[in-house]
Amino acid sequence: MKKIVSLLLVITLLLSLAACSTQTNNDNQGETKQQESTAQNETGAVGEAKKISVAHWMLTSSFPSAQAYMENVEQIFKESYPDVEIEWNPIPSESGKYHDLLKAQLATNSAPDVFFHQNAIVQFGKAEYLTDLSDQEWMGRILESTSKDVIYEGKLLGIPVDVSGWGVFYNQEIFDEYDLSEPKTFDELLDVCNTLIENDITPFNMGFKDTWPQDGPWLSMSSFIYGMDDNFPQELYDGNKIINSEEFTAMFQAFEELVTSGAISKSIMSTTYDQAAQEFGEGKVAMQINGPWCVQQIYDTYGKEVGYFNIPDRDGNVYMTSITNSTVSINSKFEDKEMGLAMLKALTDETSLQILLSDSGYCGLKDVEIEQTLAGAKAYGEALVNDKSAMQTNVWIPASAGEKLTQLTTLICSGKTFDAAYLEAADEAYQKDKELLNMQ
Amino acid sequence: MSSQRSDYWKRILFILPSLLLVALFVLYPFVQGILYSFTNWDGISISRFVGLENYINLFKDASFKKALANTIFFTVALVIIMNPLALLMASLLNSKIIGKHVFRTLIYIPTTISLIVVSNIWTIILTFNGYFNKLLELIGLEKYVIDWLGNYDLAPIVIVLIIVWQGLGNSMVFYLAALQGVPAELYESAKIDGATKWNNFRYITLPLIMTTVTVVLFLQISSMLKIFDIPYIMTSGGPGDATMTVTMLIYNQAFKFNTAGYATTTGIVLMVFSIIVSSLQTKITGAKEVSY
Repeated sequence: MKKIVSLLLVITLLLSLAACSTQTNNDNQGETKQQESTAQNETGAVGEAKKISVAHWMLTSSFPSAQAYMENVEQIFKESYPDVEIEWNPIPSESGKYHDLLKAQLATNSAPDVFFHQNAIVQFGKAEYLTDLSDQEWMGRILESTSKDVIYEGKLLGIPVDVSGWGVFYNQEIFDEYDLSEPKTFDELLDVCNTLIENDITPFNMGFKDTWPQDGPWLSMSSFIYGMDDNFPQELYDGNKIINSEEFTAMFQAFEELVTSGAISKSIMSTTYDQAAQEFGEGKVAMQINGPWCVQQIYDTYGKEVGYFNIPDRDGNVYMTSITNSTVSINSKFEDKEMGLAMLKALTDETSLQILLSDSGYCGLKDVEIEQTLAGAKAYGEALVNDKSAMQTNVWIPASAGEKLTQLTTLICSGKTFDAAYLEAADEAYQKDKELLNMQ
Repeated sequence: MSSQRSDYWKRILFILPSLLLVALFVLYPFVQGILYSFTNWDGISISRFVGLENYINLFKDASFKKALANTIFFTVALVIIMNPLALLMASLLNSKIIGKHVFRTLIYIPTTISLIVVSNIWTIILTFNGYFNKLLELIGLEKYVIDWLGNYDLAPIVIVLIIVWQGLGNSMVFYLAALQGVPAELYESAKIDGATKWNNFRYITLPLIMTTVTVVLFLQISSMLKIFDIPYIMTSGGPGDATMTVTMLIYNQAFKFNTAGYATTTGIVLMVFSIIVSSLQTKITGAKEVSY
C-alpha cells in the first residue's frame, strides 16, 4: 500500500511540473484594448483563424491617433487578407520595457510577426532577425538621412516610419506676452531665460524623474559640436577626434550655464515627464527640450499652440539633427512573406501615416509629406527642411558612451560642476563598443 | 536490506524533479554565463570568443569602479547604522517596558512592505514638491528645502536611510530571539560580582549572541552587495552616477548597451567579490562565537 501511495505521489509531482509550463498569454498591459478582428476560415469549417501579430510601443491611448491608425491599417490589410486576424500589441507597451521584451522574444523565437523598433538595425541585422526588403518598392524611397537606421551591410531591413529629433518647444502665449523672439545665438537664449526668470516664469523643465528625457539636452545642443566640425562623427570613428574634446566641453559648459543661471527648474530631477508637460501646458514653464511628439499632446490636453526653435551655438550655427524614431520590419522567422509585405504596405500607406504622424512626426519616406496643422509641428517640419541637417548624436556614439553623457547632464542638474572625467569615461566606452555602430 | 534500497530509490525519485529544475534553471545558465563572459555577445546574435578582454576592460572601466565604490558604501553604511540600532531596539523590547508588543509590530511592519511600494512611497514623500519639503516649510525650515533625491551628495545617504528603515525590523527580530536565549542567571552572577551594564553587554551578551551577529551580518552584506530595487526606482542610479550599483550596471550593460557578454563578466566578478567578502566576514565573526 505504502509503495502504491509513494508511486502515486511521485507521478503527481511530475505531472504538476509539466502542467506548470503553460503557454504564455501575451496580454497587453498597455492601455489600448487588444484589437482582434473576427475571422472565419474560407471553408467556414471550425478551426484556428490565421493571425498576424503587430507590435508598436506607441499604439496606446496616450497617443490620440493610435486607435484611428490601427483601424485604417486593418481596413487596408483586409482588402488583401480578409480572413486574417490582426493581433495588436502583443508586447506590453510601458515606457522603457518594450525594447527589452522585444529583444528577449527575438532571442527565444517568440517575437511578433511585424514589429516596430528603434536604434537596433545593427544588432538585429547581425542576428538576421529582419527580412531583407531590398527588392521591394521602398528601396528607392528612403530619406538619405535615415539610411544608417534602416540599411545594414547594403540590405534594406526596415522602413523608417517616424523621423524626428529634439529641440526647444516654447509656449507661444508667454513669448508673445513678454515680447520674446526665437534666439539666434546661445547668448540670446540666455537673455530670453533671464527675462522669463525676472517675470517669475521657469524657463525650462523636462521631467528627468523619467530617465528617457535626460538625453534631451545633449541631443538637442549638438550645434555646438557640428558648428566646430561638421564631420565630427566620422572623425571620431576614424580615431582623429575624441569625445573629451573642445566640442563636447563647449556643449556641456553651455548647458551648465543654463543651470547656474536658474533657467532649469530646481525640481527637474524629481519631476516626471507628464508633470513637466502639465507645467508646460499650464503656463508655469515656458519651454521644454522635447520632440515633436509633444505638439499634439500639449494641444489636445491643454489647448496650447507651441513654437519651435533649435538651440544655436554661440556663433549662431544651427544644425537640425534627426533620427529614425521608429522603424518597421518583418520578422525573418515569419513564414508568410507576402502577408508580411501586405501588412508593411498597410502600416506605411500614406493614409495610415497621415493619421499616425500628423502634428507629431515626420516620415522617413521622401515621397510622403505629412500634413501638419499645428504651428509647432509646421515649424519643426520647416526646420527639418531648411536647417543644415546632421545625424543625431546617439546614432554615432554607442549607448554606453551616451549613458556617460546623460550622467554628466544630471550631475550638472544636481548642482555639481562640469566634470571632464565623464567625457573620458565616454571615450573609453566608445572605444570598447564602437563595433556596435553602423558607421562603416 | 531490499526495503532500505527501495526507500533509497524512493527518496531519489522524490528529489529528482527539483534537481532537474535546479539543473535546468540554475546550473545550466550559470555555466553558460561563465562561457558568455569570455565573448562579445550582444544578447541576441552569435557571439565571438574574446578571451580575457572583457575582464581586462572591466577593471579599467570607470563606470564599474564607481558602481563598486557605491555598492561598498551602501553595504558598509548599512552595517554600521543598522546593527547597533537593531540591537538597541531588541534590547529595549527585551526589557520590561509598557507596550513592547505594539512597538515590535510597528518596527517590523516596514519589512513586510514590498520594496517597490516602499520605493514609490518614499519617492513621493521626498520629491522637491513632496510632503517632506512641505513639512519643512510648515515648521519654518524653508532654507533646508532641497531635492533630496536630486542632490549628488545627499541621494546616497537618503537611499541608505530608507533601506535601514525598511530592513530594521528583520534584524531586530533576529537579535531579539538571540537576546532571549541568553540565560538570566549569568546576569545575576555578574551583578553579584559588581559588573556594570557595559560589562554585561561586552562580556556576556555580545559573545553569546555572536552566532546571530554572524548570520545577520551575512544576510545584510549579501543582500546589499546585490542591491537593485530601491535605487533603481528612486533615482535610476543618478544624479550622475551617485547611486549607481553594480547590479544596476549589469542591467544597463545587458539591456541598454547591448553588451550581454560584458554584463555576465561583471556579474561573475560581483559573485566572486561577494564570496570573498562573505567568507571573510563569517570567519572573523565566527571566530568570536562562544557557547556555554
